Amino acid sequence: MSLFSVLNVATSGLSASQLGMDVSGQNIANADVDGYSRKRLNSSADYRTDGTYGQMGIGVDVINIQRMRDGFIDDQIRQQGQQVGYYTQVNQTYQNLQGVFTEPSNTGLQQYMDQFFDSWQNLANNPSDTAARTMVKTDGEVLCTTFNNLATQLSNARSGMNDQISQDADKVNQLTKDIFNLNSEIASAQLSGQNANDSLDKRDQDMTQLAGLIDFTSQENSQGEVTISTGGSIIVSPAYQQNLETTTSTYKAADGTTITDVGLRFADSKITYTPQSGEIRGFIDSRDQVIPEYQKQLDALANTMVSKVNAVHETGYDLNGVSGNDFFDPTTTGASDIKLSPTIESNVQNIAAAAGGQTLVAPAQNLVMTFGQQPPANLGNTNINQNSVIVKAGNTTLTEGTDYQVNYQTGDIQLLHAGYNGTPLTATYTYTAGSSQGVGDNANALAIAQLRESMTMDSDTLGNPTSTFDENYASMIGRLGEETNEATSNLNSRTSLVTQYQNQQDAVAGVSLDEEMANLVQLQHTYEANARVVTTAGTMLDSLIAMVTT
Amino acid sequence: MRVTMKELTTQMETQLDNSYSDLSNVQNELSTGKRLLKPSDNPVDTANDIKLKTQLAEETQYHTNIQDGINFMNVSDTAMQSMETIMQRLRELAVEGSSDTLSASDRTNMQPEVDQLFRQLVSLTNTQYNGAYVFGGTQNNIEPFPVLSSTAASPADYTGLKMAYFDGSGGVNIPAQIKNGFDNSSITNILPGSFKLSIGNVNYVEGTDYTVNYVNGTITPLNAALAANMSPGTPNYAAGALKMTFDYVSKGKDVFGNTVGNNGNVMREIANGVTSPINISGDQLTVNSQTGTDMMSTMIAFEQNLLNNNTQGINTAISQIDNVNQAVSNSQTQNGARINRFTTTLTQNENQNTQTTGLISNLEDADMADAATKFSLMNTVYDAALKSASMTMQHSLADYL
Repeated sequence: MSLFSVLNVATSGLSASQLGMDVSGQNIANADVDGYSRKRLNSSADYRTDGTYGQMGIGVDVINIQRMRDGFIDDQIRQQGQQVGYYTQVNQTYQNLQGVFTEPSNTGLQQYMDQFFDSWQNLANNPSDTAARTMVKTDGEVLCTTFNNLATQLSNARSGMNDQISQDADKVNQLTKDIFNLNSEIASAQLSGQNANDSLDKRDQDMTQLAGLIDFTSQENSQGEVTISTGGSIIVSPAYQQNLETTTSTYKAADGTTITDVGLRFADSKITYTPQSGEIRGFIDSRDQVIPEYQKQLDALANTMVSKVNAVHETGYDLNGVSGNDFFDPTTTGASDIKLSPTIESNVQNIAAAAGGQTLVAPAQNLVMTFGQQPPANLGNTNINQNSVIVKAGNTTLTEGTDYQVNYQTGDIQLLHAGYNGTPLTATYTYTAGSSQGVGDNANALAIAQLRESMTMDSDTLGNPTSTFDENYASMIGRLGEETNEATSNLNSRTSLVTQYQNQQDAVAGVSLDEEMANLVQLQHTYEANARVVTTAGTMLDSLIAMVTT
Repeated sequence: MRVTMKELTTQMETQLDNSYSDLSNVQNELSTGKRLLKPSDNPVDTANDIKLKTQLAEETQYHTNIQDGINFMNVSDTAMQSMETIMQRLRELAVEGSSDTLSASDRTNMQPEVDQLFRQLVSLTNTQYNGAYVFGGTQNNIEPFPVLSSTAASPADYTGLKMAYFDGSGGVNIPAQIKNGFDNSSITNILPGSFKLSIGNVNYVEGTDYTVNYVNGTITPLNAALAANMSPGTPNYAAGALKMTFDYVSKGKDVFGNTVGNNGNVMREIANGVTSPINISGDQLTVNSQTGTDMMSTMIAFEQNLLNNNTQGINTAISQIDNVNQAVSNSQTQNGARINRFTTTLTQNENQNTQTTGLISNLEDADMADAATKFSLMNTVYDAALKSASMTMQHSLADYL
């Protein structure tokens, strides 16, 4: 045992303190860096075995610099992170939809439907007034434009999802490339017995980001390399990385426009890939489920509006006494292309406000019918009113269905009872004359206005409509609100879970400045003490040398 | 437990975010005064709100309809009121005219006043509301009882037969019907005193050369010369030879064959699914449905009887005027009943409207007191969060070393 060995012990102490300062300094410097894990210097007492004294300390041995991180919590964060990514996008879509429909307000579809039906009531009050007719046309156009705008906004929102999916696929590829490179860095460091702490931090962070985009499972091997697989395929392994690539598929929408959608597949295996969760799945679900659902409902509303209004409008008479005109263009396929019919566009006189159809009483007619005669006899008028026909033989009233039968539409009457063959009969009936009743006739305008309160939508199992236009729309908006709330609360609960896990991770991996400060003070003192040991040993050596020289 | 700076910061950020977004929601509520801004604010209330708004729009429209209907019926009412007053005067004249003490010329002198009153009656049947003839049924853009003139027609008017003509081939003392050249329908109800007939340059004198039955619209030639001249040529007379000038009250069709007036109902929707007619048709107004007495022919017959000094006929006119008056008064009663119904419905509508507006306000409008309280509470919370954050963040061990 020599005096010099003390110097060695002190020197190891000095360098250990310096190393400790380095680690604390690094921790402090990276205290607010995302994904940084706190490092700790692990050291132990170094010793040798002395023949006389047994184990003798020969200084301090630095074992390694340890990265403080809980891998289990990282797994939890990634699992919830996928859900956060998914619900962030779905929630965003619902928020956008709420923006598109702008309800409740005075500029939403509901307002314009009301205006449209109000204008029919106004027309009913002034059926011959050109201003009232123009208002029906204008309000009809505004309603159509509102439908068109909603449809355009919905389809834009939908197609916007495709760009997002492509962009996210690029992000996934960038991340998997990074992870692949980091894998080899980590492996080579580990092989040479060194730590790869910062690469591990970087990789952990990349994997957390990846979890926001897609769902995946990961496995780490003994060299510290991870294998990541998703949708049954490996995208990163120690020896391999494969990209996602986009594919396009086209189909024709109801209104005839071609829609191009973006899909994903694995670049090498060409297997189609659909993530189960994460941001990309959020975009896909928004595009394929959320938005189409509202497009479908809006189309149904527009189509029913067209068919119901047209059905009533066709039966009415316009100012020129013409019947059978459509109000909306009957070729309408949905909200995107609903418009007024060219007839109405060209002239407001063609709006059918009048119902026509005056009931007239026919004078008593003398009939002589032959049993089984073909073609049958005719009453002389068409559109006979049901149950209005009375046929008499002298004072005996014949029974309809037993003695004779009438085709109400054509006015054909046929003898069913052979006993009246050739008997003189008299027939009385009323019929509907199919002509206009004049410009003051407002019955058809009223009938169209009353469609607002009629059951027109949402047929039950028997095919009977159960709700009005307005109720249908209100329940659609109500559902939008409910679904938005659901998406938001899902997002909030997942986000708070992630925050909670993040806090737990921060408690382990985060840098505590106070702790580092205390370490620094401690290390400073250790360093000073070690230096003092060297000085003391030096003095002792001086004394020894002086002793020899004198 | 180990608490790190990062953890503390994240937590503070999250909490500050939460309090700030709560604060912003309440602030929104306060500044707009609305509780429902997005469907997700309250889906059920939003759906109800949309339905109620439609209901309100309908009620507002019904209000307009009812008001419009009442105005329409008030115009009809005023017209019928005036008609009754005129008919009172006509009845007085008929009573006076039937008196034995009057001479033939006295009666003839009464005719112009009766004619003026009658023309007033006719113009009242053509009363308009907002451009529509109230007694015209649904054919209300044309006067239901137009006074049409068949003026001295020029030869060009023979084309299309658009002038009055008659077939005078019957000879002396045989009546010929005046017809509408357009569709060959009979012309009736000619206004007495308006009739003039000339052939060539010869003006024929009524009473001497011919007589006219104003109600039926028939002419009877009294001498052979006129009868011969009235015989048809091409198309009925020698072109330019015959001129006939008269006014008549048309019914059903005008000179061009257009339909004038019908018995159609003008409807107003006054409540959800409740429609009601608001008009009195021309027939209802001018024809007593029980006796069949017609206002126009009654008055014309009355005038003719005055001119013809027919006391018996004038006597009949008194009861006929009573019958016609009955029709007008029945119509007025019906109209009045409808006005009452509309007025009652209007009150109901207004109550309903107030209620619906209240319901919408309940759903939509923010409870300001509640919002303000919440706001100040959240403000305090946010303030406390900020203050505690700033105080915690300031400290580290470094301050004390």
